[in-house]
Amino acid sequence: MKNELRFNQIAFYVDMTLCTGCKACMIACKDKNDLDVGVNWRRVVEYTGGEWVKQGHAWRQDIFSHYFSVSCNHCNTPICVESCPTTALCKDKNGIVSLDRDKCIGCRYCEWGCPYGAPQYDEKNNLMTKCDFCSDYLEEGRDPACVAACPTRALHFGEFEELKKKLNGTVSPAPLPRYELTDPALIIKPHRNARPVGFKGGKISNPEEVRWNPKIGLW
Amino acid sequence: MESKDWPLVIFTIIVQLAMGMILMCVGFDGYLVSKAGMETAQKVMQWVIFLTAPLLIIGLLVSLFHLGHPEKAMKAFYNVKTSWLSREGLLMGILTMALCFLAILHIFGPVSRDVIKPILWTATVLSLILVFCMSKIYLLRTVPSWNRNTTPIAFYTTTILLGAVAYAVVCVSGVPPAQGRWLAEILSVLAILALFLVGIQSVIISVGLFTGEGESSPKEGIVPGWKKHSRTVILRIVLAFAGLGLFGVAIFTSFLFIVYPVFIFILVSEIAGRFFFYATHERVGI
Repeated sequence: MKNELRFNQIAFYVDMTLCTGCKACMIACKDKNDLDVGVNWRRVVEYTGGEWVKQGHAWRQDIFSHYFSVSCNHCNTPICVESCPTTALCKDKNGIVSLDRDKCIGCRYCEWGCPYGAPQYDEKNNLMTKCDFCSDYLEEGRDPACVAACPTRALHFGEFEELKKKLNGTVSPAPLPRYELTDPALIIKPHRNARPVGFKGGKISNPEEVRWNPKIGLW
Repeated sequence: MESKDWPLVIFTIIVQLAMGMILMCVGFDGYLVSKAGMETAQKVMQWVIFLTAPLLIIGLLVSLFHLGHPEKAMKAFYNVKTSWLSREGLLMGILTMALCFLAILHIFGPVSRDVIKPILWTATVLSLILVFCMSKIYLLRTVPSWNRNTTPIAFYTTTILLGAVAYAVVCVSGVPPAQGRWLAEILSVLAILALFLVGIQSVIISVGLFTGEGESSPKEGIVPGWKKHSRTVILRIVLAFAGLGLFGVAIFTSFLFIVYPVFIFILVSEIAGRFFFYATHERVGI
């Protein structure tokens, strides 16, 4: 058995240039955590856009499409933790935003604010659920299920500051929100066709997979 | 906006109605004492207390339906340090207890105004803070359609507007009719106040529908939820102005019973407005 992995602030690293949208990470997460239909702690977003553009006398297209995998980003200033009225959500050891199910009252206030759709409602138990970075695996010295399952090695994890130094800071391409909003522990290597944050010419082409939940009405 | 948000719509409207009545009661008490006499003022105050206490209790009970685990509701007070929902819950509890205490005092006999007034003034201050806390819950930095300066203003206008029309109903039904000029005068003041507040709300609706900056700029020039719920907004505006028109008719014709439909019109208008508010939730990100 390996030693427990310890971090000041654990972070995910997503290499968009390698992600093929296979969703192995999503399935591994669902399998490991036995998540019900509609609850997807990790989701693979397909972001597409573009149109015909006139160039001189000719028309050319500038369509684009790329994938990226997203889950809870265990933010440094997590809006869910600030909002939670019961302190059920808190920053844990390793910087993980963890959920105490005994304290959760199912008010869903955390769900309103999270720009990554991380806290998700469990209709069976009437409680919120969310990614815990496979903290049990970390204690065993193992990689999180999503990271271990990625066939292209597009997903990594590590110490936030170290990853940030290694990859020259952080970027937040569309459709992700501005970094400053919640300061997510997420490092992204953008796809060559990634658009800047706030770009409005694209859309998530698989919203049913990313946002769908049978009874989360506000989505 | 789905069925799970209805408890929130009803909770916020009921509680704001109760708080508005408290504000009006305290605000107009001096006027009533000077114009209608101590006995009438006392009677109106008693009516307000007997109405607001159960309204606050009903509001609290309705809010529980929003929770996945209502039996653990007391845990909602744990995070007063950072959560506006905790702060709202705590203030709501204190306000309800204060009004219930007043109601119980009244049940057991006449109570000196020296006892009632400080508690009612405290309740007024608590109400003003509570409306602010309620609005702060929705000022989430990741939800541009809610995170606007107009949100607290809208919450305060709803509170005072509902309070004004409910107070008109209490004045008309709580004291014997034709008590002189004071009733017509007070209804006129309440009607002007209501007109002013509906005017502010109309501006807020227009500003909210068509403006926004950066990430909060509305797609297709209009806020999310408009296309689906445009009829709700139109209903709200029509009912509000119809209510105001009826208020005018009640005053000019002295058919004071018309304040009852005025109250219904304004109440339904505000429910429609709050329904639309929840429907406009759209956060940034994915």
